Amino acid sequence: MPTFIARRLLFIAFVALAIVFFCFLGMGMVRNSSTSRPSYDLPFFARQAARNTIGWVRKAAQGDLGQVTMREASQPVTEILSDTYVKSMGLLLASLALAAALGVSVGIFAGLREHTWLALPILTLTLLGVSTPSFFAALALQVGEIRFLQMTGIRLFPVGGFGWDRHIVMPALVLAARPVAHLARVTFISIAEVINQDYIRTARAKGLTNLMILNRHTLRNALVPILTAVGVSLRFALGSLPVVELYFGWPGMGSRLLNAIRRGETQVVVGLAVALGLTFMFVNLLLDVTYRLVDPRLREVS
Amino acid sequence: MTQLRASRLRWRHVLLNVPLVIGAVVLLGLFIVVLFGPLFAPENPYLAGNRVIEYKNGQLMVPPFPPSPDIPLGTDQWGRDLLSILLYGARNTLVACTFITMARLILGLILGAAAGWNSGRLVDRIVMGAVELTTALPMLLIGMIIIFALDIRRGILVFIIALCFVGWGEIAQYIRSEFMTLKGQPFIEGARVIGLHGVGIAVRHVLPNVLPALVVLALLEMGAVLMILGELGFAGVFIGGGIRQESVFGQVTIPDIPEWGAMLASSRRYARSYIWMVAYPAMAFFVAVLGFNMMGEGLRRLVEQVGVSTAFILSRRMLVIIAVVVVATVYIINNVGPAPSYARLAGGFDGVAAIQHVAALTSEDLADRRVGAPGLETAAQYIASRFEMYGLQPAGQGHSYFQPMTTHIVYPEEQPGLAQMNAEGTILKSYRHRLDFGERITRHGGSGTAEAPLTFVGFEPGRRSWPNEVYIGMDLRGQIALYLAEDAPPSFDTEALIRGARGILVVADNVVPQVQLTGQLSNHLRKPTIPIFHITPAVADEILAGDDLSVAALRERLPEETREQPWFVQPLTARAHMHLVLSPVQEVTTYNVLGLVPGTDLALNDQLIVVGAHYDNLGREPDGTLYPGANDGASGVAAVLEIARLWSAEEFKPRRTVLFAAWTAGNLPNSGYQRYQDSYSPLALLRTVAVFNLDRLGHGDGRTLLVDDGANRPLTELLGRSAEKLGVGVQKGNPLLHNYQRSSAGPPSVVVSWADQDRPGILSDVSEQVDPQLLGTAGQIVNLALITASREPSY
Repeated sequence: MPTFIARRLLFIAFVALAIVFFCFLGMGMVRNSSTSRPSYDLPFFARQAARNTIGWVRKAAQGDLGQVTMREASQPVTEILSDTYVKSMGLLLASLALAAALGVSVGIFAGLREHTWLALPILTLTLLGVSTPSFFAALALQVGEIRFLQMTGIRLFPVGGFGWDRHIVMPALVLAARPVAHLARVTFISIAEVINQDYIRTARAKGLTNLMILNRHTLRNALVPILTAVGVSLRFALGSLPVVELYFGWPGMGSRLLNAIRRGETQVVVGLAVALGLTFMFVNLLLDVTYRLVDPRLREVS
Repeated sequence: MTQLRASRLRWRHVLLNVPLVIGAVVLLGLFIVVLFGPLFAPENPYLAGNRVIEYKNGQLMVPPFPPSPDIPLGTDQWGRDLLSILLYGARNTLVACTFITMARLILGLILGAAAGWNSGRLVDRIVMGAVELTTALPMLLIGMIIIFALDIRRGILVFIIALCFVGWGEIAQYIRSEFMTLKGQPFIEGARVIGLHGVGIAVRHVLPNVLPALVVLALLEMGAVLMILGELGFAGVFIGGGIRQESVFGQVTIPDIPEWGAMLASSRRYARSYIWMVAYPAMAFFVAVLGFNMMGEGLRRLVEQVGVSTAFILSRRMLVIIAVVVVATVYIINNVGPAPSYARLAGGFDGVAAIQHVAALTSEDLADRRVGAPGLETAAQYIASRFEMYGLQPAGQGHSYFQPMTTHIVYPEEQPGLAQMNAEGTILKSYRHRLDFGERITRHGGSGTAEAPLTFVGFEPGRRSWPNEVYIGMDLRGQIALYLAEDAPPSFDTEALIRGARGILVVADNVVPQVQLTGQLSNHLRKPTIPIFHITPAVADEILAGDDLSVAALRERLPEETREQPWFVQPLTARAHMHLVLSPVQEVTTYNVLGLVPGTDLALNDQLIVVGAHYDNLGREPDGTLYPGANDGASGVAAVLEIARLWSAEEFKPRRTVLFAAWTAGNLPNSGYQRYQDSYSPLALLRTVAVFNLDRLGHGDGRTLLVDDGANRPLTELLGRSAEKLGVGVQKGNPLLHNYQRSSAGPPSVVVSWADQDRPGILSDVSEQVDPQLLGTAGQIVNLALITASREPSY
């Protein structure tokens, strides 16, 4: 296990370095292509990006991620990073927690033997959920809320702005939509599969209660696919994050990155992208380690 | 476990498969919209203008207009019909989506197969590392960086590259695992045993087993690509990047290509106040993504039920369906984009309507459109009033359509005469002014009457230096000197006068009277004046025939005769009569008529395209002969006016700025076109990228368009492509009659006319000699070229 983690950490460091390099390369070309006579001299840009990467790593080792100048006021990227990182991760965490709670419980409920009639509606509905673009979900929620307000006169949640109170509800709901659907789907499928296995029948024959069967036998065996689904959900949520933040005016990393790419603020792009990439990879590593803790079979393979 | 047994495909399998049914219905609907959408669209977004202000229910409204019975889905903030953009946009969005998906599948298949086949080796590690790298960051952000890095303005290609780059990983992973599973199967062992090579086995035995799953994968991938296209659009990134325009609120980006993502981009900020603007494109994305995902999921379930069978996907019936889809797709791709819309607009050029302008310009009052004649000014007013009617912006002096030009001219007061006589003094033949001969008013050329024997003067071909001493011994006293223009010393006319000549005939191709006093006034009409006429080679041959000579024969003799001294004289038996009486010098002011259609693209509208024609003619002769110039001097202007009318009626908006021009003084050496080029006006701030000069568009064989382009291939090629669509060929022509049409210096320019230039008497054409069909064809060709040049970033 330790060698596995060490190798993964090394790989993560390599990917992080590659992200820095490619961000510098991409942003160098972005600046160039917005001029009237762009050149596509790739070796030149690659050399430039390599130099920038080395310089950036040297400074980053001292905790300096560069500065960004906006309206003649200069702001360190570290400040932007710490500010937006907390806001984005809070939102992500809230939505993933919601998705996990909702998705897994719906999946388990529908997957149990006595609810087979739920199979088709659940599969179709989850497909609907996975197919919903975040901007459409946001718009639908907003329209729904406006209708509700018109009918009852009660204002439920604000549809924009930042705040750790009611403000987080709408963006978290939208961000959770696809993960909920995906988690419910995967949980349902794996539970339904496990529940037909012989050892469940054996457990039932032993006279265990339904709850005990679920806890000890069914869930444990279905956990690995569900954990994988959590990783995939994280990707879903991360992918929609910029759009959702943009829609609801949530001042997080996603919308800040979109702005930075547009404005050509290379230092911000590099800093935020590396932080985002590292977070994602560390979570995946954590999931990988968890699989191995949960499922002894995987431990032996590695 | 009945599922394991492969069963036959039955209808109940299909109909009970809810996702498959929903997906199939949605995809069929999308397919119909992609194929026939434009037929249902109220307007064409490629050419349409915008609804600006409307008066409804007693109040003025500005865009965006909400949905109402006549605009079912409302308009966007520029007043463009959303339903039309949605219907036209389906093509662009879904075709882009298909391309991106195909690129992803191909790349994912190749890399995934390579990794799976060589699992555990270096290739595998590199591919898997690359997958990790591309998936470590949100697709949207990497995609956006790549798109901007490669320059969004380059259109769909950039999107294919960027979204293929960020999305091939999942497919590669899937294919890799399939390959790894299949590699261990007994039939692969078998293939290896009979001696097949690695790549051969992979392609021939493994790939067919992966293909059915690939169909499912492709459908799901279409959904994913659509989703990312939508998200990119929502983040303001869409194909082409739109056109930038200054407004009171600062710079705004206006999407110019109808596309769903672009619709989201432009309407995002109105999501709170004008929901319909965002709701419809967002819903379109949702429905399309849902359709593809449902179809993919349904198909997967079907394959699961029936058993994985390659035969089902690759059956004959299925192949027929695929072939139909492919043919339809080819049709769509050919009809995707602006070209068909341009062609339709260009085809609106109406030759019959254009003839009305020819008729108006050749009517009684306007028929004499010489520089200085009142008809020319009336014609200028006529053209300006049409420009105003068609909503062109005045581009002349002081917010008017007129750009003045002052010049000096003289005209004959009596009919100029040239006659050939025999030695006894009887007139053998009289020649026609303008057609056979024309006066030249330079230096001593001017009024005078001469009746004298002719003497031919020959010059050494190619000699450069002509000091006065070389003429010693030349005696032209009492003679009319006849010489060829091409080898003559530059100011031999003056020398001939000094040597006693009473009149001069110069053989030249161009006998248009040179009545304009260009350059220094003191260089004209110096006293004493003698008549100097240009005559055509045909006339010269007739005169020389009496001495058994011809222009060609004389030209042949020149090198030999000029061996000892650079000139020789040969007295002829023929005599000639020359007669010219000029009016006093007049200073006249005449006008170019200029109307502007400003370009709507901030990045392109500093580039200027000029489409023009001269509107003056030769007018009336002292003896009353009229040269209405219906073809030369009216048909070109008529085409310019008709194009302006069409653009205004169809609300076509060019991206580059287009100047519609009617040049004055086209028949004079110094024309209005030159005046325009030399002038300093606000227009000079723009960079002229193309000039189309039109003339003689109403007569010809209708098969060949002459294009004189100097050395400007792109414009000729553009016209060639436009002409090809109407079955007309394009040929590089010789320079036309008029001086301004030959100027090869200056901006890239072409002169367009029918292949008709050698027809005698073209200058005296009346409006009945202008064929509406020919004028229509030529007008459509020029219009298409002009629309393309004004709209396309590169042409």
